[in-house]
Amino acid sequence: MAKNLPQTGIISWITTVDHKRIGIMYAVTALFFLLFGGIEAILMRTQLMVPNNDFVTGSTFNGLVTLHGTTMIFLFVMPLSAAFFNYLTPLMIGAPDVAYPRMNALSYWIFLFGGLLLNFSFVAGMLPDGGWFNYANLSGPKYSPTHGIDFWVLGVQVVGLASLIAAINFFVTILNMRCKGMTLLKMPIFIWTTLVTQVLLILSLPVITVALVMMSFDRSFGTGFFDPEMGGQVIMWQHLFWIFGHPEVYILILPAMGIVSEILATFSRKPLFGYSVMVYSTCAIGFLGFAVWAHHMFTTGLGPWAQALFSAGTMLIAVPTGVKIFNWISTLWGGQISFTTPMLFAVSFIAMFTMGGLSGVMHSSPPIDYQHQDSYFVVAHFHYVLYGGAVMALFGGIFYWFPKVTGRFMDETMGKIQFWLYMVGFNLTFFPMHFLGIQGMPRRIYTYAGDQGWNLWNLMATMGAYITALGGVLFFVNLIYSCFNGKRAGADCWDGRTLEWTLASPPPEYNFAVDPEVTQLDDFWVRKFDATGNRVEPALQPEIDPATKHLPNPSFWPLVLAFGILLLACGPFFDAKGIWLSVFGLGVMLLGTYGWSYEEA
Amino acid sequence: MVGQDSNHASVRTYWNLAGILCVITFIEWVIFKIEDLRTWSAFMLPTLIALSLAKLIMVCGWYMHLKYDHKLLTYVFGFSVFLTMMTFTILMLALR
Amino acid sequence: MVSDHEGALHATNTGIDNRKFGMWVLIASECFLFGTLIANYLVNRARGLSGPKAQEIYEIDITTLSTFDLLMSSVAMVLALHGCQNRDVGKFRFWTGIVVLGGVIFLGFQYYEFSHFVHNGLGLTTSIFGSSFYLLTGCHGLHVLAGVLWMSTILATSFVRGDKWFPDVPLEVAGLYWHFVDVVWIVIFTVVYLFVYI
Repeated sequence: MAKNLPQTGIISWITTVDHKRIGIMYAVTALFFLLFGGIEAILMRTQLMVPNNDFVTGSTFNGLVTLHGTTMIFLFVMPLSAAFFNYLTPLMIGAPDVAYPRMNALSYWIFLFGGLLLNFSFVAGMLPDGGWFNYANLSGPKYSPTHGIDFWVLGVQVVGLASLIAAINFFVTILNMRCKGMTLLKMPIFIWTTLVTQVLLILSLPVITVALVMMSFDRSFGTGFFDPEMGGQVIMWQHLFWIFGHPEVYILILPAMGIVSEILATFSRKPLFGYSVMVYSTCAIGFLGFAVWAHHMFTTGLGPWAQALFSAGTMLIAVPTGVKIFNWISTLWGGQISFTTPMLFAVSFIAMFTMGGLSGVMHSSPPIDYQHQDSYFVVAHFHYVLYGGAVMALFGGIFYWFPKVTGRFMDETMGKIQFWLYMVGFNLTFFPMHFLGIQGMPRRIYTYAGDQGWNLWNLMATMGAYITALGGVLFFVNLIYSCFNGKRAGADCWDGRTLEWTLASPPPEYNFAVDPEVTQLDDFWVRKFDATGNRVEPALQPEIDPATKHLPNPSFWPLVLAFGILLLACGPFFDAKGIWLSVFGLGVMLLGTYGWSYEEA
Repeated sequence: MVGQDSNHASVRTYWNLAGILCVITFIEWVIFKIEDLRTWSAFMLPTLIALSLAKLIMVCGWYMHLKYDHKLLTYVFGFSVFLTMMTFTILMLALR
Repeated sequence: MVSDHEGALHATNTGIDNRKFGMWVLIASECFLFGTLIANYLVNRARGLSGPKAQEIYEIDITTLSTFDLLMSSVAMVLALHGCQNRDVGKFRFWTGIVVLGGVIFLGFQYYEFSHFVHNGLGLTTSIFGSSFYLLTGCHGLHVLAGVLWMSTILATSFVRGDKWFPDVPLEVAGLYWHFVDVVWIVIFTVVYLFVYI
């Protein structure tokens, strides 16, 4: 059945199992949700522009702040990172595909449905309003009796499942499908950060899965996991959430760090400084990330032992992170630097992430954190690492790999203008927030009195947001313009170091005509020089007849299975009758599973 | 085909292990039943843990074939078990 | 179920079949799933504010029998795989059937236990102890149910596809899942039931 599906048109995209197409779908969807997250931010900043504003109500504001955080984390940064994992992993390791092509498609469809479910809260007029971390027991049945919170609980549950399935896929792909000669310490650094990210996802997601089930049960079935009146503990939610939540922040930053490493090396024309130290630091960060979660809970009365130990762990984790900063600077040092747009984003990452890291290491001291907790100082910190850090790196990655994906460069002029709009706008918004925090402005308030001394900073922050928005518009213009009119790009358009640059731009569906063989790190780059250091022709992949390559068949069963999961997740919205919707969803899942299993792959 | 491992336990080994697993479970039940031992949790706790650990190692090592497979699988599973125990020990201590 | 040649299509760096490796990675993930549920149970087992307590309600005899049952189903599982790998379709089918039977019996014991507990006043929402107990053992039970469905499907497929169908790797993968579900029960049996007085 699968073999007779069309090869072109929309059906071919819906049934695709090609990791490159799935990567593109992830990126397009992530950028779509970026618009949502961005507009939510603009609305919040407009409300906070002046004191005692009534642009939006407090209730709406709470919904916006919840959805902004949730969308940016789960529906923008994570899926955009997944777009890079999808597109690049097989190409960078010299593989024809990922380990499980249909499961790859499944992850995407589950993610799309989860994102739509979360944002359906707008259509239903019931926004989740408990914050992106949804603390109990505000989010429990007693204080949040309407279904808004359920959109968050079930939306996050569904997208979490997508990430878990994808993580298993990439973990096995990286360990099992590398080309000949590519031992682990010869893999591109981006593949290492991808690998550790998948480990973090695989091990941390189940914890929040359980927490979300407990919260769903409290809300739908009357259990009391987080209800003191039934013997439960409110603090249990915080622990379980942050046992996931802290590895989650490394899940958000590690892929970006990998992208930065690749871009810096390429545009300095130097190898990444201290490659093996970078690998060990990445592993150390991943491991230690499981031991520091309660630094998000310093003000909850953990007791002196817990405070001291978590504080020590948090300070310790700053060490491998700091090592990376020095290695990036050393990569640039003495290099032949060209400031292309991707390079601008990568270099700015070093500075912005360092600033975010400095404010972060300040919070690692509990007495200081008692002042920072729930203030704008924390908002400044995490936006510096997540936006100045992860998001800037991801944009750099888009500019860097866009030519490979589409065969056309993005426009450099528009790119540079966008970059500066982002830098100015971002810093104008978030730098003053350090002051706001120190001056006592709490987080998550929808308005403030005019005599607190906060007015100027808030006005500046909002102006910065509008400048950023301009940059965002320019980005989308650039994206669309470049798809049709961008300067043509060849295979090795940036004079790159890794295997994806041996392929045509865009690559053939089968990836590699001839299975690559490597003998060292940055093998492709090294082979561009002969023994005396003179340039030789780069060893690109030849063209062959595609019919000689076996490809996995397309399939619509992943879509069916994902739809069944969505139906299962929608049951709790309909109270008692919802159980039938969930049962029907289970039935669709079963149908999807059997169809998939018996299909010829 | 049969698998990439170099070795395989025999059917006799599988049945022997089955017998041992049954005997251990029976011993656990007996220990539980003995009233006096219940007050000796200092004895009961480590003994029961050791017995369960033995069952676990037998099922994982032989039935799940870890003993004969590539060491990487043992590391993947072992690392997860280790990290789980570390994380939740810290959690339970923090909730005291 | 998936044609065997697919997994073997590409030689792997580690020599481990992709599907088998993937199941082990899933198992690693599930350690954290059950770890969370077990930790939550341990924290809450004595914190119930009403309803029966663990010491009053657990029946070690029945539980020990269900432990035997699941262990024996694991034995059947390795024998089914052994039969398949040695191309003995009779043994493959027989022992796979025994695995299914073992799983169904276990679910029967669970059903008995749950209905007995509810009858004696411990429901899902009676107390935090009850909620934590049912969430943990219920989750495990659902995993058993999924396993029973999986093994039944393999058995049925064997009859449909005839006596030349020997799904070595898919059966091994199903077996790993089944054994893991047994391993989780070994931990639950000890930590929940045997430790009830500790």
